[in-house]
Amino acid sequence: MKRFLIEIVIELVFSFVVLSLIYITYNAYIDPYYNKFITGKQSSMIFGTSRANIGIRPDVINSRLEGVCIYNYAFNGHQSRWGETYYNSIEKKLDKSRSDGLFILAVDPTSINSVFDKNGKESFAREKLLKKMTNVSTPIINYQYIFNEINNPIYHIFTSKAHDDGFLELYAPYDSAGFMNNKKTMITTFNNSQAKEKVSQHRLDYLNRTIDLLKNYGSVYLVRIPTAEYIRELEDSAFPDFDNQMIDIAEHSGIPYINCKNNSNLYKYTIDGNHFVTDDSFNFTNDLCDSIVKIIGY
Amino acid sequence: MLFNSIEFMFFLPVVFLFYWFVFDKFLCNYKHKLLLQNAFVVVASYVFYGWWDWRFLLLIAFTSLCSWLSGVLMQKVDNNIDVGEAISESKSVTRKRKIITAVNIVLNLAILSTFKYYDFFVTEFAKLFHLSADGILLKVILPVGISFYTFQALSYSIDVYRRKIEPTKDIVAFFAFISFFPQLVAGPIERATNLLPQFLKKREFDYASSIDGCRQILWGLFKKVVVADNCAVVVDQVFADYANMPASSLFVGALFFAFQIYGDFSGYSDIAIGTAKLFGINLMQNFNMPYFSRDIAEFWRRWHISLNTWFRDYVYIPLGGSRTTKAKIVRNTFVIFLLSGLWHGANWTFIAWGAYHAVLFIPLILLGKNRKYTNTVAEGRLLPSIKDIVMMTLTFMFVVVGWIIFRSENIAEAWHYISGLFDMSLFSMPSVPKRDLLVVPFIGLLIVVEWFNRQGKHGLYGVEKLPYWSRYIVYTLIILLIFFMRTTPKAFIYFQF
Repeated sequence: MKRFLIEIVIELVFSFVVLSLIYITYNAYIDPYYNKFITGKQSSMIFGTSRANIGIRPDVINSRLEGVCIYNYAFNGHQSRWGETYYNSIEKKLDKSRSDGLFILAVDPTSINSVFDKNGKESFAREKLLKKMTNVSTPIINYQYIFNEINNPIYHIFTSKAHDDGFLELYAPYDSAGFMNNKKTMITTFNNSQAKEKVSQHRLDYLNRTIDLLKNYGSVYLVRIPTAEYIRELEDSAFPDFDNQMIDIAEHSGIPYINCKNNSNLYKYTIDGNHFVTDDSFNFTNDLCDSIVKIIGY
Repeated sequence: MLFNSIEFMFFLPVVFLFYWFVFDKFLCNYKHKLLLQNAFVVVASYVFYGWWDWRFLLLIAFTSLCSWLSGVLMQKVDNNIDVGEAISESKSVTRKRKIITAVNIVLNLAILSTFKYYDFFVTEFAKLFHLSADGILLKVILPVGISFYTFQALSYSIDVYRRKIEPTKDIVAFFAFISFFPQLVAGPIERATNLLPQFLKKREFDYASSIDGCRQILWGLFKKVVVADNCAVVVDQVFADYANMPASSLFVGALFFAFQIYGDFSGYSDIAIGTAKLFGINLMQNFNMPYFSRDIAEFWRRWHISLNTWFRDYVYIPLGGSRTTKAKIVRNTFVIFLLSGLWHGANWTFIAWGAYHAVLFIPLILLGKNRKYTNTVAEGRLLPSIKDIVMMTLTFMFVVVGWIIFRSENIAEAWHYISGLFDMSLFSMPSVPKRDLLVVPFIGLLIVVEWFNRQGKHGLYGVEKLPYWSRYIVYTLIILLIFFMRTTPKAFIYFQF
């Protein structure tokens, strides 16, 4: 028995050490979001859904805006819609020791929508990851995430890389044929999801609360990231009041609303029409910096 | 509780340590040590099962109690016979024992039928007469593993009736036999003659067996997490949209399902058998490299062995088996395959799957060739002969067609799926995301490893022959693969049966 236990413990410890070393060395390839939980608290951040995670490059902003060290803390349309869950996670990740931060809040109609059941009860079931992740800034390695949350095979190494600054780089070159072929599917997907969702007062309230929180620690910008033209048209027809709602929120909070939705044709998108191809993440972030510079006035 | 869950990672070591250290070593001089250790097995098993839904523990307890009582009552009947009267010759004794066994069988099958088949048969009956069954359907959830533990309980009762085993008065050992957590929800369906005696005597910890158990658990996890769960991603896509898929995708979907169900079910069995070894318990082998079979008869000797031998011993042989007229052989074969299909679930697809295999099996048995391949393929050789390869491929393709029927939602879907395969698009590129096809090398690894261990009891059986440190490298590589190839944990397919 003694020999058995010793051998089992040795094997488990050895595997654990090797596993940990691999995770520490290759953290960028493990999972699109793992990196976000092994960096410390941040004083400047980008928030939003996958459009922001894939579309706004912190390295570009940091090189363009002096003294800024911004971090991309955006996730995806399931996990990081505005609401209590994302708010709590942002609060945990926020470095409250400084008040000169820069915060870019990417908004889109999906980010303020929720699924409601027949009785009108709002569902937050998809926000499991951020709800469960109590530790969002563990240095070096985050075992909570590794053991509980990684459910993606290692195939990710062929499709994406998570940068140290939180930006998610997709290895997806522009595919015009794929883009055109996928249009019909995306329109169906959009219509199917809109049939189940509507604007959530809870999410609008929490967007306001998030802005109020962040204003204490720096300047806040509300940004609408462009999408492929047909996606914009779909969103405009499904949510005609969205921009007005954002303008109201921005005016009420005294922050700028940078609405780039009409710049669709300046960029190229992945086949889902929702995300920039990598080169255009770079271009868009540069254009965004121009807008911010104009507002700040330097 | 799933074997591939974090909860089980904690549950197993805790139960192991309590089992050996508290209930074996610490209580070494206590006369009721065995009783307490068995009671602990029951408690741990009930926690394991109750993790899913504690309400259904009552069913397991009831099934266990009925079967145990049937044994006790049969013994009582035996004890009441006149001195000098041969037990086997007493008609009244036989009649009473028959009644007790029959009552137990009816009770157990009634529970099984209520939960598993009632809604199906009522719906089908209503359909036949164009009636509405809405008001009389039970719509109850199917208790996990009910078919497995019910059959195990029945085997005890029947074996006691046949005097193959002495009835036990030890209710705790009996409850442990029915509920033993490694095999409770998806088998192997153990025979009382093998498992029950192991709970009636002191278990000894055996180093070699325990190490082999760990190896088997590891290989089972590889098959489940790396192969089955990753194949499932492709299979689910293809079967969900089969009408719009090219034949090449349908072909890939069917092949992947063959490996998914094998990885899933044989993986579960490996984990169950390996876990049992850690507790000094030996369970029967449930899979014996079935995809290396050279005909359907050999496949059925190697696939879900515990269920097939159950049907053979308790249905096929009592019906006359193959030592009867040809017409009856055909009937008996159909009966066990149809029952085997129905055992898997209340759906015509399972029944059709059983019938399909019966049709493949019957020519072999009628020509007396059903035992042509009783040895291991390419025994004593490294590689198979051309003939072996042809026979294995043909058998595998027949099995794959069966899996399409098995996996389909209904007969029409199965028909469309199979007919969709006969199309020129079979030679086009499959329309599934290429990244999802990256599981192919791991399917290859599974085949290669199992080929080299085909005479062993599991895929890592031969690893013990490797030098000490190489073994640990192999284990570590498999652990890493399991970690890096994880998908969202999926329940084992056979839980639903």
